[in-house]
Amino acid sequence: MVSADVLRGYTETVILRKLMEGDAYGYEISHMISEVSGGEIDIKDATIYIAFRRMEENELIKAYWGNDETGGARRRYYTITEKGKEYYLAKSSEWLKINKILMKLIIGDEQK
Amino acid sequence: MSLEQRFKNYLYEHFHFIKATQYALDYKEEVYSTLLDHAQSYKDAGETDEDVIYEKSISSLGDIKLTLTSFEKNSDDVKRVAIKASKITLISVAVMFLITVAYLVTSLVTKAWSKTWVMEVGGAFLIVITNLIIGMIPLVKYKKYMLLRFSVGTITTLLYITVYLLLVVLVPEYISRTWLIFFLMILSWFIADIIICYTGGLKVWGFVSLLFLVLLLGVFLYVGLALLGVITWSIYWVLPVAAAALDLLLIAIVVALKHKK
Repeated sequence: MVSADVLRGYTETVILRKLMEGDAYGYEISHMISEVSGGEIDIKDATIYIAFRRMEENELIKAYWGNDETGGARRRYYTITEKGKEYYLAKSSEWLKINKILMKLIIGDEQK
Repeated sequence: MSLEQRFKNYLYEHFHFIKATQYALDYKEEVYSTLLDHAQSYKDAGETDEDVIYEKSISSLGDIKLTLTSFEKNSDDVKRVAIKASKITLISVAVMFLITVAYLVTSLVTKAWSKTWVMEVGGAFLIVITNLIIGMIPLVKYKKYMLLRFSVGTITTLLYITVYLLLVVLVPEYISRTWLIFFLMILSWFIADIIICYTGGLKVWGFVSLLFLVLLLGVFLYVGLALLGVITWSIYWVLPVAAAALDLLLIAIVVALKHKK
């Protein structure tokens, strides 16, 4: 199991990437992270909610209640805004740069 | 006790001390539906023991207290804003009281009641302008440019009315020309609006304001030249200008509808 800390600084970008594909609710996103990482990253819902709240305040996403229900409770969906899309593109290109640098710093030049 | 009821009890335990704001109630419902989703996924995976399902679902939430703490922080922020607003109101009332005293004293001493009234009205306008400028700080901070446009428009209007009233009282001999200051007011509206729009990334709105500004400059040039006697005055100039204004209005409506969509 990999610590969820590896996502620190990029939790919002991961969520935005999922929302780029379409609207989603909290559980869907935490489930996606767990599934894509093969169960290696177990991100807690509280972490996702804090990220949601921060992104709503920064107008990167918007929330709305869905019509579907689970056991009598409505699901709260999130949709990405135009500002969110711009933010995602900026952060994903930043990640590509950082990834290259970290590869050199952690693995070394022999990786070439 | 059913699993649903146990989740509800868990949420009650954690949320009952949080102020029941709309945000908190939404969050509570959202967490409840997430718990049900988790429970269902554990059931789908073959887990049948409800105690295990309950524990695993609660564990998946993580540190819920951390999120609830941020609600408390938000509540504190609201309190701070309310205290700040109360202070500003008290200061405004105190300043208005001092202005009124100064107005009455000056009027009684000079007996110039026909002029001193501008102290009271102008003072009230300046207090409102100051409050609006203070109110603009969070608008700039949180990039609420549409509201900022409205605030700047109101400030500009009040400022020009104050200057107009001062001119009416101080230089009454020029009263036939003093109204021209409102041309400057309209120009200031649009120039400020264009700056805000382009700074805030509202480029389409900025462009619409720019079109209005060009139209206004044409109108003011015509009126100016006619007043100076350079060209002959004729009311029919209104027709092409009205057509152009209608065009711009239609553009503004289309932009507003698109923006809303």
